Amino acid sequence: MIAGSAPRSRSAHLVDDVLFLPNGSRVFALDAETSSALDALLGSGDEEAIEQRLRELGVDVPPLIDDTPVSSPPLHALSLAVAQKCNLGCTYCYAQQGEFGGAAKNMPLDVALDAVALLFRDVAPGERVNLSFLGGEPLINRGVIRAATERAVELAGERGATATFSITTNGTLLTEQDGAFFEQHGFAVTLSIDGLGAAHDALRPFKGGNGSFGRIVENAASLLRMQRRMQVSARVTVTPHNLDLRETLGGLLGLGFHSVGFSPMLASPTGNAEMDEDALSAMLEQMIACGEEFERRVLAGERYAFTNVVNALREIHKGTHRPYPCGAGAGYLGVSADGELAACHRFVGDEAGAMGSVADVDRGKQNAWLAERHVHRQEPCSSCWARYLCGGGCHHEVLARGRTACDYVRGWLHYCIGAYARVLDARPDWFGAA
Amino acid sequence: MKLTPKNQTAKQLLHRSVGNPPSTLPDQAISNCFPGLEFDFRNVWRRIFVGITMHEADSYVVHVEEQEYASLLHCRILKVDGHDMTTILRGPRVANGPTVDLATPANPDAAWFMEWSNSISRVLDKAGSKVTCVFTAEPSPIQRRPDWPDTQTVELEIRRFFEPDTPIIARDLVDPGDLTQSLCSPWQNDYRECACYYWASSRPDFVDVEADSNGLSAGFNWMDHDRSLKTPVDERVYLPDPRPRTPTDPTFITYDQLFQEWQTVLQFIVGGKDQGEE
Repeated sequence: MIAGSAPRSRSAHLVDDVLFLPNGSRVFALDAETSSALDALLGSGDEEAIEQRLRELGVDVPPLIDDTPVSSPPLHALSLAVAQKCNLGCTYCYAQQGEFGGAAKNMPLDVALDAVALLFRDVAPGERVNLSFLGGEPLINRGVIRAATERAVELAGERGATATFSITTNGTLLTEQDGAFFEQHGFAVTLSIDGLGAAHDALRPFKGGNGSFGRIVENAASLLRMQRRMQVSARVTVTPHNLDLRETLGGLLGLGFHSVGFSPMLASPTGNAEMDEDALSAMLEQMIACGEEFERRVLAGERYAFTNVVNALREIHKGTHRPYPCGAGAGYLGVSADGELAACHRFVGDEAGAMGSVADVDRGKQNAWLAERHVHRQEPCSSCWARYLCGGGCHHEVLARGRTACDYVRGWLHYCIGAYARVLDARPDWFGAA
Repeated sequence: MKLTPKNQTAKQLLHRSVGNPPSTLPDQAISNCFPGLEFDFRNVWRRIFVGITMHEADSYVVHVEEQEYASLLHCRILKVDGHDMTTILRGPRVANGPTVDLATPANPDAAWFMEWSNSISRVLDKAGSKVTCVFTAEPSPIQRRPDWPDTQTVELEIRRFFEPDTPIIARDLVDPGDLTQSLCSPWQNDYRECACYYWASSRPDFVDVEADSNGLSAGFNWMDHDRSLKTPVDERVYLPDPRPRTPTDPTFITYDQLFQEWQTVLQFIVGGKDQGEE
């Protein structure tokens, strides 16, 4: 898969008889003859001839993404690091056990309310904003979560806007009352779970060393029973020590999670548990095995909420093409316990992503960052067919460790483009319902 | 078939099928839809009420589909859900004159129907339910003011505008062919009549355009008789109709010429340039 997904042209990529054009993320099915001729052309590396062929096929269009960076974008989402402390001791944690390399602290209520005020300051009727709570472990400071949520509901009512909420938690402190509150406000609740039983316990122990899996599953059970408006999902950080994704996915979906997604550990502050080339290659195999199970289930008319492939197929279907990997530093910002703004939740306390404070976004810093982070300014992205799907990779990971996962990302997207064409042919209704 | 567009970006906006002209792409399209060279958007409003058909740009009931609404035929709609559909046209008759009702013999009430898109948007959230509508009691060939005393009141259902959860105009709002009714008719008078500001953003009326010595665009009105490519670029002037170049010069192609000699006075414009000239 990695060999088949290697970049041969910046303008086109082939997945069997499926043509992917980065410009507009357009997907076409080719007949065998056209596909085979184009494959040979891609093999030649003659970019000019490739572009000429695209013109002949009538699929050339002016570039849809230029070099212009996003500038002073409206704010749509904030994440509050309501507790820069944690009761777990995960060695790979980007937040360094919750404290981001500083002192343990909770976000004071006034800072949280100022952040909510900032989020709603320029919101127009009918618009949607998202408020998310992260940490550390956010439930250490649940009073502030509740107050900030209620304030956001109030402001949304006043402005005729819609507020959505999300929280990422380690699940160890969850109570039934939390569940009822999250259900009331339709939270997207994400639990960090790195595997089933021992695999999880080895990576996500309590600070005292005991495993946390049993506690989390027990706590999650009541939320899973309660979920109607809220969605309780699991997010798995993949390290070289928990690579059995197929089993993890099946096990967690079996527990009743709304969806399950995987994310590789590419840069940890200690270097601990980072994925190397071999581990990423093994992960890709596992991801594709999970994807193939997804395809089987979808074709059989079942729901199988493997987040990574569900999201990829939806984005490919829309033809999402963008010069950034995510909304970080643009419509989405992170807020530290002290009220400092950062490009996202991972940049809390990191000068590299500083963007002002809850009093106001520092537009100068923000715009400079957005100009710098545009995918046209990244290498080796300019020659890669996946650049507008990937957007150059997670800013935080890239700044910390460089682009170490390009083969993995391309291999995954290569698989997803093929899966897209297969699912679209067999179950076009899946996209209608998605 | 060499290739088949699969996803939304490939299908919707950017794929130009072999044989289709550039004007089928959005950045080259005429994009003129009111009343339009490509389609006439106003026609979406004709069936906005279940059971009757309205004029696309007027308060007039042109057809009645359901017998219970028979009394509405050729009447004028005055109010929908409490909102006025017409207004009184007021302003000065002469520069600096007093503001008065602008009545005319053809429109003694000075009543003016307000354009559907704006008038009806206030009640579109009630699509699928019935709202109170006030009409003139009798058929009326002329517009009537919103406080016209002699009225009839009926409850009419407003159709939804979109198919649910899609950007598709609801299928029961427009029949096939509706949107291309009432287009401008270029082969009749409409090209001659189009004031320059009415032209589509792609400005097909601005031809033989090149950059002049100041770097600005210079070219001709395509209806201008004198649009020789031999004219130095700096001397090419776009004249808005009907301004004459000289008092006696028939600057523009006339109606008669357009009807009788269109194939001579008009040329194919290829690549923005008049053809047939060395």
